[in-house]
Amino acid sequence: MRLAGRAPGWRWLLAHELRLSWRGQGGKAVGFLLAILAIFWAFCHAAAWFVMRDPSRLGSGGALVTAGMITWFVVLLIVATAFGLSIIALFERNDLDLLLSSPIPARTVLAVRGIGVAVQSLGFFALFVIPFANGAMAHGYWRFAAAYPAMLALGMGASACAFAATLALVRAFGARRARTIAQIAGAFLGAGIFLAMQSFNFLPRATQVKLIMLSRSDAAQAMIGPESVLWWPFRALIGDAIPFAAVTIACVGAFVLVVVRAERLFLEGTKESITSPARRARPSAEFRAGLARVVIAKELRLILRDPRLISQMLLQVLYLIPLFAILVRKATAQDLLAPTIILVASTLAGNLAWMTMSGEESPDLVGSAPVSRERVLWIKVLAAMAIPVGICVPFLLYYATVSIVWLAAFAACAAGALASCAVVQIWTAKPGSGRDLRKRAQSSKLVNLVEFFSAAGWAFACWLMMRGSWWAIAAIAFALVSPASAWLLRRS
Amino acid sequence: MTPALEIRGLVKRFDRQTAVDGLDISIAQGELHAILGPNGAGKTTTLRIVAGLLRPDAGTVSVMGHDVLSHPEDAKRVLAFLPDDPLLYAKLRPMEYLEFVAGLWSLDPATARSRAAQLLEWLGLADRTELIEGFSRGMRQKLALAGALIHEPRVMILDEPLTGLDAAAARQVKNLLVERAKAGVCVILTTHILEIAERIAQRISIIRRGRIVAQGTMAELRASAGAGATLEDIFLEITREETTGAAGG
Repeated sequence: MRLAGRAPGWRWLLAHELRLSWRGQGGKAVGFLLAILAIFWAFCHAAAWFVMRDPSRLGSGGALVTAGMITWFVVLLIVATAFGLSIIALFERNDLDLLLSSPIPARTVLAVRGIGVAVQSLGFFALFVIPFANGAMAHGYWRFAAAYPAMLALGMGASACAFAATLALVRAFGARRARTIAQIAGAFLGAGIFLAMQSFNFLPRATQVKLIMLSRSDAAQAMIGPESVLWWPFRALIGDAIPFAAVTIACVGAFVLVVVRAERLFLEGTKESITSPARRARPSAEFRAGLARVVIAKELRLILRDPRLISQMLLQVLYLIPLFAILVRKATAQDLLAPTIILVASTLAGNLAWMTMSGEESPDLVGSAPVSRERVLWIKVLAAMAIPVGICVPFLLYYATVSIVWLAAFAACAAGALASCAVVQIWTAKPGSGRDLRKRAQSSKLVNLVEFFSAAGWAFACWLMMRGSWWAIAAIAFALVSPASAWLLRRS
Repeated sequence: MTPALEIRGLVKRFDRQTAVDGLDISIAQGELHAILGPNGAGKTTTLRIVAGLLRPDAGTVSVMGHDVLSHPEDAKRVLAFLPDDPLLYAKLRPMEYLEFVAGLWSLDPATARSRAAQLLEWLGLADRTELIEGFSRGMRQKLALAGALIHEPRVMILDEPLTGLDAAAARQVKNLLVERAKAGVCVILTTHILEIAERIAQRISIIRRGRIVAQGTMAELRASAGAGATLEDIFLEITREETTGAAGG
């Protein structure tokens, strides 16, 4: 008997892809999620029904430019989301061996994966856009039905960009390093778009005025005025015929091109990521002496070799950039910088300490070694604190040039915040929870809350100390409640 | 001579289920001892208690005369434990992993470095300098074994040590275990491959429901079961209740 029949087509594979994607979103609480979505959507539709009574004003003048800019912002966010999803689709899903060894053509696998990425990256934004399109149609503006195909086309365009960028990284750096770079770049892209949108506000007032004047010139108006091609993505969404046709053809065309041209690279990339040996490194010539040194070296290596973790850490640092801009513009904001740094460093310290202790990958090895568990935990937390301390150092040096009192306040509160984080983690550590930070938020909400209150307390104490207020003592007392409660948690 | 491992009246319960139920065993230095039993018999629980990874509810365990409960660090210093699925650090390289293990056992760095190089060479991993995440199951098993050997333990506890190894590596490891036993090291292993136990173990213990139900050399076991019986025959006869129960669902 012959069991193997014709290979299933792309529709079957797409249905499988979307089912997996949906289950990944909802987990066991699919029903609850659906109910929440239904309520949210009903609310959005009600709001859109009022807003879209006269959508014609969206098609011209300043409203069109503003909506066009928002559309670009959203499209870039979709690209950033698609970038992250394409890394998962190409490198992290462990079903590629199965799919590529099946009789389904690799091109179909790639195309379906691309559509899956497009749909997933669109999902969140479509929730907001569709009610407005429906609202306009309810008032008889049927051309807004174009929002549906235009959105899918934009999603496919975003997916094509993300796939092309990911595969270009594979070509340039090889699959393994491309994965690391793409993970970091994906995280940065989202943050970068947000910061770029805010960059105008960070500029000095005189530069802002100059830019506004420049934007009113004829040359600038041709480029960014209501008739500019730049706003065609938005005009495609509201059903303007020529922009709609152009955007749809461009996006779908780009998608098809990427699928067709990238098939070979896709196969090479995925094969390499799964099977090929990684870059060789020269073995260390000497072993370190002493438990503390080897444990710290091991923990720092594991932290620095985790691209997801690095991207999360770098993101926290990236979000400090606007603070620098504010500091440069307003000297009076200096007393707000230190508390913010304390909050950021504490969050990072908490995450890293959790990862080194609860994320111990080989608890059996450490447990069967002739060393005390407490000692190993303290050394691990010491390693975890190295990076947050490193972040604080430049700011300590900065405050040293401003005021010795502020320096002392910042140093004392930062040390207090990091020490509080350390003891909270040591007293509540549960080894073997894994190294995925996403699990941390789910694992112990109480510990996270305790840690947050401690960090907030120390940050507030720092602000009060810098302002010379005796209420700082009360804030410190509040901050110390958290480690004390962690100690009580441990005893219980 | 002090027994390498002495267990008396060991009991371990998980909620209402008794995993180890008054287990007694004594294993001499230089002995290669195989512990057999059906799934869920209590083998791994027993070994984890010996390695200091679980606390028993009752009973005593001593390794080379050191009580595991009252002097765990002394006991662990002479012990190596290789779990059935050793979890290694995915983002470390083999030599870095061995450096970490050497640090845990406070070995002299220079000696440990040269020993690590020898072990990696011997296990065919000397030229593998990539991250462990790229290793196959067998390579991970070999590296974990190198980690277990680096501090030259007096007692080795190996839970399914041949899992994932190719035929050549499996033979290499079997020879190593026999050599270590001849050199005076107590080697205790669990395995589901009965031929291995039959071929290399000096004595065999069969555990059922957390108790030792048969123990002795292969000749002694055969004598009790009848001439010509293989270890498989003896094992299946002793554990029949579990195997028929399992087959029945």
